[in-house]
Amino acid sequence: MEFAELIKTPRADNVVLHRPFYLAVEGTLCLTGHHLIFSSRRQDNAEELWLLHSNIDSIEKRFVGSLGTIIIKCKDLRIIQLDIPGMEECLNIASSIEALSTLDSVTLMYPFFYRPMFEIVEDGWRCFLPDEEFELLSSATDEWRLSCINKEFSVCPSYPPVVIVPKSIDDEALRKVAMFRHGSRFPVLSYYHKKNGMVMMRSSQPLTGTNGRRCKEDEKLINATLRPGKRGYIIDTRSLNVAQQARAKGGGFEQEAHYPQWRRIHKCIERFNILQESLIKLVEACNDQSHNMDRWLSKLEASNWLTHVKEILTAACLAAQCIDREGASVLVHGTEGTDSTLQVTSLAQIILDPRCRTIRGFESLVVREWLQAGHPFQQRCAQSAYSNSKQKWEAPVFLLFLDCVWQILRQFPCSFEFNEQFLIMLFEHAYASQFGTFLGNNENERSKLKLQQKTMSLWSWVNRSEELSKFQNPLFEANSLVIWPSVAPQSLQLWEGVFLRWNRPSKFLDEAHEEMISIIKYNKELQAKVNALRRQLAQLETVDRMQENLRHTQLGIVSPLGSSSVSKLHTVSAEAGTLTSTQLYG
Amino acid sequence: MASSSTPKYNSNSLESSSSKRTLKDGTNWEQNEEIPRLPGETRVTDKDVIYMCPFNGPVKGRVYITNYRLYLRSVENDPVLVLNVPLGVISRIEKMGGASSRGENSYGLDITCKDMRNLRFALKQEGHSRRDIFEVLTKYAFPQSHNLLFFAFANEEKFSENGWMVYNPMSEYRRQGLPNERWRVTFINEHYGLCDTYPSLLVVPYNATDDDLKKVAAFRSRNRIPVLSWIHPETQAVIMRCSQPLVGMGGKRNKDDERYLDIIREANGQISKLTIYDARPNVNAVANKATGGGYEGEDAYPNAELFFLDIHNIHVMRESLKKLKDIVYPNVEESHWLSSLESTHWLEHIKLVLTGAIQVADKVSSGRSSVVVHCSDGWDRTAQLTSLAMLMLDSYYRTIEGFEVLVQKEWISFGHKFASRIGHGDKNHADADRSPIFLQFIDCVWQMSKQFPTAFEFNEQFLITILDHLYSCRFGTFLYNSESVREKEKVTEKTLSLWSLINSEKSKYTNPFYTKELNRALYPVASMRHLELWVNYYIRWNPRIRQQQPNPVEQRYMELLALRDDYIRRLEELQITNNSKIPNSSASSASPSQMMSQVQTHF
Repeated sequence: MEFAELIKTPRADNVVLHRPFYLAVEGTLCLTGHHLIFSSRRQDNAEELWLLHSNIDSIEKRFVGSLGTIIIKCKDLRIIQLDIPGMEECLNIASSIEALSTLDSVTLMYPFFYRPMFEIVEDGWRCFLPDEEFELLSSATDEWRLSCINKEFSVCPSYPPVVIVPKSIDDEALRKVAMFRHGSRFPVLSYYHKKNGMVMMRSSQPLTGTNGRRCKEDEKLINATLRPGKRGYIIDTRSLNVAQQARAKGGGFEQEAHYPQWRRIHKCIERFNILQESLIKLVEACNDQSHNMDRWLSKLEASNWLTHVKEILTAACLAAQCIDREGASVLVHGTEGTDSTLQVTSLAQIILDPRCRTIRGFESLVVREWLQAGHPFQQRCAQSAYSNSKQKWEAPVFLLFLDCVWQILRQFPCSFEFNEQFLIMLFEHAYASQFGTFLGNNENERSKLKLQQKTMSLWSWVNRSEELSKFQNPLFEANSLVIWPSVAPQSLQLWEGVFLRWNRPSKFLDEAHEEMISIIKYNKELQAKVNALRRQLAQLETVDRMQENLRHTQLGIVSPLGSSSVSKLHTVSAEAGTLTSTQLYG
Repeated sequence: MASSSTPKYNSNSLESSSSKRTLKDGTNWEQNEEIPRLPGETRVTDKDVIYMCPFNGPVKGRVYITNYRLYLRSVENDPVLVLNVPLGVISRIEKMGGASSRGENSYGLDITCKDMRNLRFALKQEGHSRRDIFEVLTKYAFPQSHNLLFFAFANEEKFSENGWMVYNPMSEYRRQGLPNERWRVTFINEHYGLCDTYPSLLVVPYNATDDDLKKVAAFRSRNRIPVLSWIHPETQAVIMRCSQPLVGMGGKRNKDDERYLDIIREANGQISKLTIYDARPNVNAVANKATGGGYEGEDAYPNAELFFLDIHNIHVMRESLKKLKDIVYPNVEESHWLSSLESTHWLEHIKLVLTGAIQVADKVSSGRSSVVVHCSDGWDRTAQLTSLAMLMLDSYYRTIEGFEVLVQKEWISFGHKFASRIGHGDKNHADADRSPIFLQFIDCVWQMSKQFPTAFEFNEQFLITILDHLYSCRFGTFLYNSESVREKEKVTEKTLSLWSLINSEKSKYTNPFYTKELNRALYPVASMRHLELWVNYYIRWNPRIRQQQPNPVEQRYMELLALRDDYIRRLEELQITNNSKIPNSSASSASPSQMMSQVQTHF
């Protein structure tokens, strides 16, 4: 298919762009296969707006005489309005946008056409491989093995080719366990707590059905993670009621009789359309332009969004508590084990493991616990809060996870290496991106799409120093402790950076950002001076090597400023600089 | 499960951490003393009690009462639990249970505090054990009702700074460029003869004679005539404050008042209309006519435009705060937190006050028009509006000293009735005159500081300290209703100023993110979406809201700044060493001192 067929009017002049808190701008609108491009003609301050079609969630059109207006609502929650003269042009443009923003074939998406304009230092597709993860684990324990049982995705279509399982369980047993678990998602290792050797595993529900089927291998597998005489916890992310109902459809939960060493705790984390409706209500309340804001807090409460945040965080705290405080191993699952399960396992790791609070560590967490673990991004993030389509598999599961991370970040502002912008960036790319990272629903689909060969990884772009500097938290101070977030209602707040992002004046934020950039630039100059001085000193030292011995004491004073100190000087000043903006965003 | 398991996540309790704070509080532990005491503070009594902690259950302890504070230390807990409560915060002391009441810990005292908490102590039932402690507490918590002096008059603390010197009306007006050819300083109120709730020094239009002022005073409630609060350095537009005109049911007019407002309008060469902001809701302003008050009618003041700002009266605010306390103390309303918060209307009132102040500020700054602000008496809502508008317009008031001047000027000198609104030392807890108007103002300031984190020289601790001593009666700053009474009671001679405490230890109250910026008007977003409950104040007694440390961001930033200074110093050293090694070199790079100044300009 040629995109040109879908674009009847590729260009329109005298289009007026309206955005909240900005003056209306007149300019030219262009449509390409993947972008809507608006460029203003103002001489003094020409500006361009590039919008990915895939970022467009819904589009509305209306006419006053021959002046058409298109209102574009994006998946990143922004709303823009374009006034287009000429009814035909407007209709053409609207229908093109509609068609281009809802392409049904993945291979027509922008990542397959995108050519990076930057030099790739490190290929993101080759980062965060399971082998590396296993190597780290092996340094702490030898009770686990890497199994290639799923090499051709033959055992479990939503699992990655290699998984980490107890050493004592062979592939044959795994095959049997897979038959006993929903979607063949047999229990695998999610996290190893070095402090006390306890582990967190995840899976899908067991297929006990109404007649209470059991599977010895399944019992053996999860018991293999227990220390002699110790008990473990199964955290079922569904209420007991829902779990019981699941038996009628062949699912179910671990019965006490067959898993005597395990205590089952039910938590109630909502899924699917309940979350989607919550998001829609929340965004509606946030965008309510009516003057009467009296009911804001009630509306916010009625959306239930913060209740979902609280439920997820509470379950994650519970899992972390079992591991760290009770010294017990944990198995987490819901129904499919691809949504609420992953929210709980990944958040528990952020609470427990300082590594997950670094940029690299968090990226690795997203790769392991979301991408490789088979969270169906393509389905869940197909639409956002404005879409009318309401498909039952759409749900802001990942956004809720990011929101929970933001809540913890807010409560522990110095314990994270990344800042709020990093989380917002991940939210944007999960919904619309030039990179292939979040395409497909699991590793199986990704490998069929040949994403590694045909698209660029988000991490290749993010992990370059130019980009990274935007996402660094200037206040970061490695904190090796477990961090327990508060889930009390007054401790949880609306994530303004996402939900009110387009509804607040950005002048002060922009100014703070500019200030930050100028400070970073200045710090680079300062660093260059330090380097020059060091070189100068080194030269003098080589020339005067004999005399140097005499001045030994003098050198002693300056030697602490070695290369590591100099690079610190840069970071410290840069950190100080970024702070104003962090504060404002926070 | 969810809520019941959560308290475990937070391990440190407030009571234990407050013990550390008391030591830094300017108080001294004397040898062989069980409790910290201020100079001038005397021990009165002590007793074994059980403190009914709403968070951790009953705690055995010993309570010590001085003429300034109630101090409790637990006897069995580890770490030791400490309560340190200035008696000034006590609003009400009740006996609970009787000599014959059954049930464990059912006999004792219930203490309601003005700072969003209650305290409950259980005592032994035999031998009227609570009688003496009840009497002592009542006596020292309510000295006004027992013909005793406030502790402020006994306080013998010494500070390196003298807070009474902070505000000098003459120099503050000079700072604003006054007097000038259009505005003059008048001493007509030197002995408070014109208006007993106004300060002695007033700024009025040059073209209005003292005789005119007297005539105007007759037409304004409690003689509070329109006087200047602030003048815009460029537009020369002014903010005037006053009380309502005495229009009454008959719609009385007063030529002098009408002419006086016209003089104000003309004073900055303004041809457009003068804007009058009546802080009250329209209906309330109309209702005030029945008691002789009212507002400026269109017929009488054709050159003025009147707007109502819909801010409710002191009684509504008091009830709102009461509701807020109900949902946050001792336990936070869990299940419907946001709608409960909404139903208190506290944030909505904050929004209306801020919105009003923004309108005032915008009119003066962008509209280049002079404004007159009043409510009924011009000492509650009016003070909120003028002081907040001034805070938005004048960056001087965003410094520590400037803010002290602002409070001293717009609130203390212009007769906000602190004694009546707070009920200092007065046992009449149900007094209808009490109202958290000043707290509401501080909350608005906090909301602004949240939205402009780099614009204020002071930090949250500064605001909380002001509120703590609003009640404590340790300083004379907030005592009494007006300047004339304060003068009579010789407050500046016999008591200390709160600003002495703060200015002697400024670094504790300094916002490290402050970037000095001159003459920029700051308009906060007053939409409900952008207002937050001030959790660190209203819910500070709840151990669950404590974060990993009091102010992690601020502390970390200070550390980083110190580190940066250290690196700059080392760079300087390195450079000196280098230069000394190059004979007669004119070093290619900038000199250390240049670098220093460059570095500093950025912050």
